[in-house]
Amino acid sequence: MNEPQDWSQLRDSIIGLGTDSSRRTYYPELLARVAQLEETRESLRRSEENLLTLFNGLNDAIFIHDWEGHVLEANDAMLAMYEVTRETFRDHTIQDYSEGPLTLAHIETMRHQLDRDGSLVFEWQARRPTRPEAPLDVEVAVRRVCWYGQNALVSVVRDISGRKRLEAMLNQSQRLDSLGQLAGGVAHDTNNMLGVIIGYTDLLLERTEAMPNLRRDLEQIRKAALHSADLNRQLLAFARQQAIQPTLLNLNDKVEDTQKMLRRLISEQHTLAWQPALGLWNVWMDPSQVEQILTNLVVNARDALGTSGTITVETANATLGADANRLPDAEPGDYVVLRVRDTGRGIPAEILPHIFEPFFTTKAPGQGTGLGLATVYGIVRQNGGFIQVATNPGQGTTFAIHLPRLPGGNPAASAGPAPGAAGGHESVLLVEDEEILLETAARILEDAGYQVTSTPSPLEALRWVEEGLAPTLLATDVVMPGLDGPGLWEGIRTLRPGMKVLFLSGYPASNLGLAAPRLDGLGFLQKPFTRNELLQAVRDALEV
Amino acid sequence: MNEAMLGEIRKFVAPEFIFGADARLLAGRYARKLGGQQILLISDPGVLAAGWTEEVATGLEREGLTVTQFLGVPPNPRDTEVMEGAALFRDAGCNLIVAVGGGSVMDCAKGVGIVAANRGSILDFEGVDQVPAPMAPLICIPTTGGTSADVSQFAIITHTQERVKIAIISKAVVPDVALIDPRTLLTMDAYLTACTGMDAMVHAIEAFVSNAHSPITDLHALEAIRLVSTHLRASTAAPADLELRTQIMLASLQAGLAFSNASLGSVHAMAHSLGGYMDLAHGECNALLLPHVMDFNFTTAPERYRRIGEALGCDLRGLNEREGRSRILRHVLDLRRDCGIDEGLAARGVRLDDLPRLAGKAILDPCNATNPRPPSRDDLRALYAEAM
Ligand SMILES: Nc1ncnc2c1ncn2[C@@H]1O[C@H](COP(=O)(O)OP(=O)(O)O)[C@@H](O)[C@H]1O
Ligand SMILES: [Fe+2]
Ligand SMILES: [Mg+2]
Repeated sequence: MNEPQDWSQLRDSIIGLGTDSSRRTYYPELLARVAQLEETRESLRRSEENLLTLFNGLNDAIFIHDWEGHVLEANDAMLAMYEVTRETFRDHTIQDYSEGPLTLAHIETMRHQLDRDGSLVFEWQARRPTRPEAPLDVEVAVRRVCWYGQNALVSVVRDISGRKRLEAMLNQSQRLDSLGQLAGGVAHDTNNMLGVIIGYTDLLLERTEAMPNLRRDLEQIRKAALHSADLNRQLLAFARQQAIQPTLLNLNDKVEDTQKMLRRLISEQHTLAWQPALGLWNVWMDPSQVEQILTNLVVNARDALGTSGTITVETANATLGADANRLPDAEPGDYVVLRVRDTGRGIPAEILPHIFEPFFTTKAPGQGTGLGLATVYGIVRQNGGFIQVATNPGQGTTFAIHLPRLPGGNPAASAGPAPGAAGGHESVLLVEDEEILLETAARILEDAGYQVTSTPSPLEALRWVEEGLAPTLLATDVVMPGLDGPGLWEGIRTLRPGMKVLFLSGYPASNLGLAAPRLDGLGFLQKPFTRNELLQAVRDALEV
Repeated sequence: MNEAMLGEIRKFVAPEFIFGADARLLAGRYARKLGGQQILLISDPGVLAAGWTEEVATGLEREGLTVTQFLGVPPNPRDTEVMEGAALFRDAGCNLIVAVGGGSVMDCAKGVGIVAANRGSILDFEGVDQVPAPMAPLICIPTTGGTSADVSQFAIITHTQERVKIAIISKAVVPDVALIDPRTLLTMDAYLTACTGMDAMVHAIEAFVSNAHSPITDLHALEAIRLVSTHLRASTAAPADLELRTQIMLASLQAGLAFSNASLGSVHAMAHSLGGYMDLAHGECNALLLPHVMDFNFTTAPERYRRIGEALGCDLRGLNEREGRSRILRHVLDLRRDCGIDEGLAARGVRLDDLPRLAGKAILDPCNATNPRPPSRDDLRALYAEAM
């Protein structure tokens, strides 16, 4: 029934002749273990290979070193950063790779911090053994590591010289900004006084035609005042508070126009080369500012040249990508570049950070004011551009002025040149809180035939109009206590819709919330002004 | 089937063994050499009482080894004890087994080793070549003169639910070292001496007539038959005689070498079924069944049985086959009776009703595969009936 069928096969198995009948010992077991070990070792080897790739793929330099400073291991980035080779990197100690001395106290502090925090990060100066004269700014992160059983440290070193440079540049533009505010404030206050001086001098000059001696003296006063006003204008330019009349402009045309003037600035031994770019984009800018930039840069270049050399002025289009942010003040976009290059002595590294500061000069007293580059800087920033300086001591300097390309079409051209100054008989309501300036302006206008009603108080002016005063023109300061110029104008306009207005201000129109340069026939006059300028502005305002 | 065997390719498996008085004392040294650290010492209450277990444990500890003892092995080891031992082996983190005892203890130790190395249940490994992974090193110190589990590739475990003994036959269960010390036999009583001695005799006879016998196994089988036949009576009568004990121990070893390589026959097939059912001593079952199976096989291998007869010391000169056959059977029956094993299965509680079941289990035993005359289930049932 259920008897095993194949006794003979069973017999063979029992006596050890079956396929599975060999006696197994631990030996195959051991072989399996050895194979497993081999496999583990292989995967370890592969994992180590991967880690090595990572180790060498990092941008930061990595040192493994002991507490005595002997270097045990380093990655490829370390070799590149310190300019050593696989063969030589162990020849130097951590001390050799450091610019400053590593004192015992320093090491003790490190030990203490590592015990407390587990890691430590500090800024340091790295030294390349083959190039000790050019240290690198680095940031070092240190941790403890057990390196093949030895107590060691792993130091990860990051080159931060680029970041340092950017930080320095940022500091510089912040410093220039605050200097600008200060300079702008001072220039502003002195402007009013200069206005008074110039105004009264002009009045006196009208009446002293018969007295040549007195006239000469008055001319001197007027010249000095105008010179101060000029300095003030430069300071305001630096402070980006220069009143401007921007217009559609092609730099090639403007530079072309200034060639003659620029040539007069330099001496005969110097060459002035002019290389306009074809198809140059337009900018939206006040042409006189371009002149200011060119004059200052070319004069500086001339001063740097010595007895002979070349100054090259060139233009170019440039488009900056996302990496524009690496340059100070720069943003991505299209730019028109105006370059002034000289083959002069170059700018030493230690003064480079200061050249844009107002009143910074290396020139003998009387030869330089230190306002040239400050003016250029203010103008360029006011126009949303930035400056790149490349200089090589002994070989020359290039100032590259980047001005934003004018986007879109052609805006309305600016007003034509002002006609000769003329007086009139209309009634003018004059409001100016600086009483001495109020008096000056009133005198100039009255002398020119106008019927002037004047007051330092805008509220009083408003009351007069409410009480029936109906002047043809309101000439008013902008910034005043109580009620500002535009506010006063708003109030009066509702009562006297046909009335004209002229704003007088030390700030550019754009700073006052008024669209530049004129809007809806609103007149605007930048302080300080000469007699002619005031009369012209009043006439213009009346005839809109 | 006789000399044709010479042409067959053969294998002979035997462990390293040390034979002689006080061989047991080498347990510590061997355990250490085999890489042991945590030792599972398996023994049973009888051997413990005789003092052998403690002596071996002390020897192991003297070698700096840690010993965990597993002493709960009953006369016929069951699957449940094996599983218990294997759990202990793993829990104690053992890496080497030392067995001190008779066939039960050594079979249990083999079972523990198999389960510890292969997991699962011990019953999963029943049959031939069913043990995949080699087990931890095993040192056997036999304390009875007959089972020869210390040199064999057999492990016999009782299947509790089926009430049958299963045979695990595999080279994986050949111990690594056998320390065969005749002195351990001195504590056996007369009846146990008789039963285990008769087991050795059955091993030798079945190996010799096995259809898988070989010249090498023949040599050991005949020598074992001669030794048992010559010394068993005296040894049961004089348990304290070390020289007689040594002869019986040697007989057991030789019989073990023979049957481990030539396998057994239907006596063991039937004894396994009977022992599993009635919880009778293995040697006793063998002794009760042997003459009947010899009679059943005789005509298939008369020449072989004649040589057995000669080894037993029968004078067969001038006898024809039939006369020789009864002389030899008589001799075996006499020997059995003289050693104190008397009466039949009925006297030991076996009922006629049990026979179909016993035969049904016995016919499945792999030992039948090498019996010279392939039996049927009914043959086995008839043989049980004769042995009643
Ligand atoms: N092209 C140049 N080459 C060398 N140095 C220059 C050049 N341009 C400007 N500098 C340096 O920058 C300083 C500041 O320039 P600037 O603001 O124009 O003032 P100033 O010309 O009155 O000294 C100059 O004194 C000079 O040291
Ligand atoms: Fe047996
Ligand atoms: Mg200058």
